[in-house]
Amino acid sequence: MTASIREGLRAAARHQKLTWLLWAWYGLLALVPAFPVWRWWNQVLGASPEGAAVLRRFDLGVFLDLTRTEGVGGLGLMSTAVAAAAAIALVSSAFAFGGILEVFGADDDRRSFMHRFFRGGGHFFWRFLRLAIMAGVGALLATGAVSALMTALTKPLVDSEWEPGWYLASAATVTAVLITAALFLLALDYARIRVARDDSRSMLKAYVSGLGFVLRRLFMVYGIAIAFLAVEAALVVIYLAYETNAPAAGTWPAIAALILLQQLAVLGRVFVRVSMAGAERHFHLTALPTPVPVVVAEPSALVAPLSPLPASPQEQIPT
Amino acid sequence: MRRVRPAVLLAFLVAVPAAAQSLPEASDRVVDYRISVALDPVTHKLTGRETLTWRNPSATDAVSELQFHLYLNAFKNTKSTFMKESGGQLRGVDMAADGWGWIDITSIATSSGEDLKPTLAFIQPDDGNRDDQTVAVVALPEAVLPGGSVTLEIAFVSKLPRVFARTGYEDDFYLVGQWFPKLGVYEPAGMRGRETGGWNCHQFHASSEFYADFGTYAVEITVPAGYVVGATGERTGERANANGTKTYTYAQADIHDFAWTADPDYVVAKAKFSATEDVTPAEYGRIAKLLGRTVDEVRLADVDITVLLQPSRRQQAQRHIDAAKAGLKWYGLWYGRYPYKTLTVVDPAPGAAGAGGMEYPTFITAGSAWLFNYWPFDRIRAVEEVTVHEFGHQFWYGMVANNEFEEAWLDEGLTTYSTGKAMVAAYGPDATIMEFLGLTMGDRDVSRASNDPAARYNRVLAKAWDYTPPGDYGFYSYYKPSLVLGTLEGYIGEQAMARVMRTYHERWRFGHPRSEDFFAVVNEVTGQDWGWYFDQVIRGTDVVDYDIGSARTRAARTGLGVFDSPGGRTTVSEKDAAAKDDDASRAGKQRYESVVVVRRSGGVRLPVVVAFKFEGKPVERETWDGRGTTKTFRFERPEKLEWVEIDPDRRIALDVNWLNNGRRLEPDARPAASWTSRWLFLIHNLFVTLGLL
Repeated sequence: MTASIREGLRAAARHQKLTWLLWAWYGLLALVPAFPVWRWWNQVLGASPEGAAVLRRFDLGVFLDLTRTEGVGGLGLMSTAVAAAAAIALVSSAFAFGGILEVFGADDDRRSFMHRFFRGGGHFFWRFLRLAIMAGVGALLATGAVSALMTALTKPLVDSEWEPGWYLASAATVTAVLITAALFLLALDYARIRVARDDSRSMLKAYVSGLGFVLRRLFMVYGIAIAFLAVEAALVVIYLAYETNAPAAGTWPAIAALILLQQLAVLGRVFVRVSMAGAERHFHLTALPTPVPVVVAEPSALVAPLSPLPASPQEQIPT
Repeated sequence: MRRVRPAVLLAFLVAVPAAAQSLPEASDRVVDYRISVALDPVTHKLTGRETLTWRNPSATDAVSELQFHLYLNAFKNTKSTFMKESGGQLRGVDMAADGWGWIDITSIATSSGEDLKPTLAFIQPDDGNRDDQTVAVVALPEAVLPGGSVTLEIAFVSKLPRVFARTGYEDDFYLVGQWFPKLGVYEPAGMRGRETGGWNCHQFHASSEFYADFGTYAVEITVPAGYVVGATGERTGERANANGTKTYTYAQADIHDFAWTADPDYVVAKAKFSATEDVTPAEYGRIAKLLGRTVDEVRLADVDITVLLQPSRRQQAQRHIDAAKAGLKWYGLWYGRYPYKTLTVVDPAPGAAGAGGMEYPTFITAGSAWLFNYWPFDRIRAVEEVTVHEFGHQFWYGMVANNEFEEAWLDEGLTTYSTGKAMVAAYGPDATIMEFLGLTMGDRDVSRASNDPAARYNRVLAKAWDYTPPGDYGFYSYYKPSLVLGTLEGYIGEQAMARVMRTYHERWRFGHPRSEDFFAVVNEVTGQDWGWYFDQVIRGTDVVDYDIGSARTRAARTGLGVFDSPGGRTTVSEKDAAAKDDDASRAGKQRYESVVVVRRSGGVRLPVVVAFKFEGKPVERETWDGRGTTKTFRFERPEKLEWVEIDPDRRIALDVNWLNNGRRLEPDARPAASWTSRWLFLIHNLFVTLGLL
């Protein structure tokens, strides 16, 4: 496990352009809903002395005045823009992973990074998209079932007079649902790796194979994932600690410092995710050095060929 | 609408100190209740006997009937007025399918034995709903003469509902409120503006609370041994019974209601509020000076505090105690010494949240959660807020016992206003509600959040069940009146407002005031007629909203054209004018024309202060009385206008939108940049998560 984690980090460090590219792409996408919001807020807050209150702390009153009266339509526009861009981000994950795996797998290819990335992204896009849909459907059904099961199992705890029981029951249900969802998402990762390795075309088989891979190596697979998630969580904690304890971003230098920290946090998250993909790929290569090819069944050579049937009178070729 | 007097425009009115009044020591005790009740925890029923003595307070009317509240019948079935209005839901809690409650008077007779049960009838004075049984009338064999009294012996059975609308049971937790046959209020002619005497006894509505006469209560409560009991008043005794039950006795004078609780799981925490240790001499001195009283007049008394907590929340005992002490201290100092010896604070059981957040004389229910034991949730001051708020009711509903059916704002609004001030005094201005991962929220934020710009269809002064939609009761009874009082304070100043509230409480302690009585105190203390204000914001429906329509500043130009002067006629061409302007600019003698249009966008007309900031100059203030819908201010001076702001001191809490109160002529991009960076960060993270799934 540690070897794979190390290799993943090395791979991401070797191909830093992956991190920069993905950070930039999702940042560009984020600007789509951010820009109109900035224009709206600047128009209102910039012109109002009351707006300066937000430079000292989050001001609920200003926020409500802004959303209730100064541009009620702005909220609707914001939500629509976010939803649209989120859909694009979700779909582009199929492209992104194709690119990541192609770059990782083509170390000996001297063509440019961008060429390799876009080649992989385009080559695997539709297959990875189908895999993602399968994973999504599977995760939805499985988490629904797990949630129902956990609700039934924890009912005595919820109904008891012991108040912490309710919280424990909720925590247990949420944990079980998250572990289940993670299973399907990790299976997606390994299915993608497998498809990238053997260029298979049957996505259902590839996904089932991915699920099987994860289920047979639960400890290692979850271990790798948890290690990287812990790093991401640490990034979030560091950022929250800064927001909680640093003076409010009221001056331009403070605002610039905040933006820098925010973007470093996002960059860090992207690097961690790319590293995790590298670690998973390394683990897959280690666990399955030669992937079992997905073989399309052919007629057995031992079966005697059938005798040709006599042609019907109509089919007989006249001499 | 009355004229706005210019003298009102500025917030430094000379308040006429009202004559100092001593606090009434006792109420006019109209009723005497002696009740004994036994709880059956299997059937959740109370079996009770009540000896009720009522004195006719009228000087002229002979009263031949008595009207009772039977509040628990509101939960009897879906046809009651309460259930029809609430749709079976109150305060976010649904009525349980098997949770019905009711109260039956099994016998009622005079002390001389005359059976009154045949005369008992249900009446529906508010809506004529024949299925509603929350008000009953009994005819007396002989009218009670003015000043005379009658004593009745009543037997009753009350079935408690599963906790709903403040009362009931959940497993073995009981919060017992509005559980006994309670008399309405006989209001003689002249009381609360009545032309003729009569009973004031409303049906129980979804949005109403209560109204009753002051008197004395002596109550015996029998519960299974092992139950911990808390109640209104002082415990005067307890005894173990042979059948495995225990009986607790409580007594209290000068109250108008009695509630109690029982739960075997309670953890009991006790503390004492000390008038000498919990209040410093400096605080006594400061408040005495604020109110124009002597220190002795504002001195408080010791109070025994009992907190009944759920076991899982025992860590929060001190928070409840500290909040109760904050209430005892600040409300006592501002309004008058808390006159009772005890205060009980109840933390309802999990699953019984509907019993929380309620007030009864000397007995309040708060409410918390196990999660609040731990960081960072312990930084959310829900426990403190609810305790301080419910205790605040002691001073309004409890002692200044207005009719909550008809004028809910006089209790809820004054309590909400008082709560904000007490929380600020105890916990500081910006974080009274929470300090959570860098987010702070204070009482001012909550007030602004609650000020709804769309709320233009109801009046504050309305019967509790007349608000449309019914959910608007919360805004119009709690928040808008609190903002009304905050705005009034903005106009008359902290000292005058403190004296208004003190005078009102002192004058009406143990009384039954109405809105006009409060307005009269305001007028008396300030020496001004504030009818124009209350007519708009309490009796009217409109909102307060002032904004800057436009603001510009530009270089003043030399005029073009033909000008006559003593020296003759001159023509100024564009070239000449431009040259003159350039000369002026180079010589540093440029002048600027600044024009600001201030608008009154809301229907409520209030005088406002408008602040102007010119380059290099201190802030200047002008006033506008709010007449008309716009006011234009013009200036021509050597400085450019930098910004303009209406109500710069934020005295007008009622203004629904503070963002439009000001205008910078040079925009400041920092606020938007600061917020947008966080928004961008959030979205960027979301897309990274989705895009790299």
